[in-house]
Amino acid sequence: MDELEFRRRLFSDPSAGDTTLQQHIKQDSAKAELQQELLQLDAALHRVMYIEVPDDLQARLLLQQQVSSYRQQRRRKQWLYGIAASVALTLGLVQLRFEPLHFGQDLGSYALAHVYHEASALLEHNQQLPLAEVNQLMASFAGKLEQFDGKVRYARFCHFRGVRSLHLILDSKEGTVTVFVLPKDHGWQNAGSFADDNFHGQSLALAGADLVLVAARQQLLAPLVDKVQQQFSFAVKQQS
Amino acid sequence: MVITLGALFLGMSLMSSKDLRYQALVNAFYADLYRYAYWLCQHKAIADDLVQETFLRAWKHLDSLLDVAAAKGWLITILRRENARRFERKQFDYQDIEQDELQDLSSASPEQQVELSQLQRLILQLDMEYREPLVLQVLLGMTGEEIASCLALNLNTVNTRLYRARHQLRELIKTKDLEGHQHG
Repeated sequence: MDELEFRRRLFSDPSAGDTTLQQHIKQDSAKAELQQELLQLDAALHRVMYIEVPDDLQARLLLQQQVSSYRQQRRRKQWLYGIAASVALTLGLVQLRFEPLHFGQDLGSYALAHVYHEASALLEHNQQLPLAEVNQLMASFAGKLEQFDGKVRYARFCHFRGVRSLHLILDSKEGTVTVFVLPKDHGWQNAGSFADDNFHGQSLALAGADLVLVAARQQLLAPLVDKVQQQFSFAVKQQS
Repeated sequence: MVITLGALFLGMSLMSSKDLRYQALVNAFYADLYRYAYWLCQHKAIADDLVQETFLRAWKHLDSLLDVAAAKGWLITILRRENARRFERKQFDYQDIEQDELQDLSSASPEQQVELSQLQRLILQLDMEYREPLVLQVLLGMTGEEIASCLALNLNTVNTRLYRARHQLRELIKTKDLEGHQHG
């Protein structure tokens, strides 16, 4: 093995247990030194490449699957009921006819499921995010937040059954509100108004995007809706 | 509390073997994939999104994963494809996106921190064709053969790229050191 080949092999994997390589290293202290230097470089590389992973990423990935698994089972059950009883079948067909893609108020219940999941984020993420950072994410919806009279403290992409949406948590004097930004072609039925024991919400169809707002029951939704409508802007896609 | 318990109960009662396989995949690989995605796209929010897209696709096609030992390579292949699609979508103006501030060097001394954060910047200076196999080898502990199969290259090409990646990094470090001495 010539010098060039030795370097080529050592640089392509300094820790390799290649026996010919090891023999060369044993016989030549300069080569042993070079190997040590490269091993140290690798250790430093590993250290700096090992960046921190978002705390909640794992939980979000698991939630994503649990929701779609739950929906699959629910659909399967609806089929069984449909076969078992002709009345149920008729109703099922009627339902499918009017709601070919999704059942019931799914956008609202899905939004609520996400809010419950991110409940910890409401408490943990308390820092104000720079508007530029928020707008980097808004850009994928051709959206912009020129200024916000309050605090954006959470901004992350999440998935509504395969549709990418932006999940924001906003604080302002009107209260705290969770906003989901969805592209116009999301294929869900808009939820209108929806509520459960703890939260209430509303979907909002803007020209360039659809929004779903969710807030705690004790908060008034109307001022939050007004505020969001005033301060968010979305470019309308040109029809080609 | 009631809601959490309810959600947990719902989750448990609905768990199938596919669910369990998916969860095992998430638990084993999500952190590796996130870090790999970061070094691919240099942006934390986009890396986060790429990992979500990857697992969404993995869930849909989980039945096609027959060999558990191949799972890591399989997920990396999906992630690379998602990353390529990201450029096709062209929804972002990537030129405008600045790189995130990198952290996680807190356990090092201040002098070391400077050196390490410089090293992070040097890695990002490497061309993608050199950076990617280096990340797969150093961070994910993959062998030359595994990298070759993931990147659809032959082993010789992978070894040459790894050689060049380390060679270029050493040169960049030397240049930096020289500049440091001149200024210091």
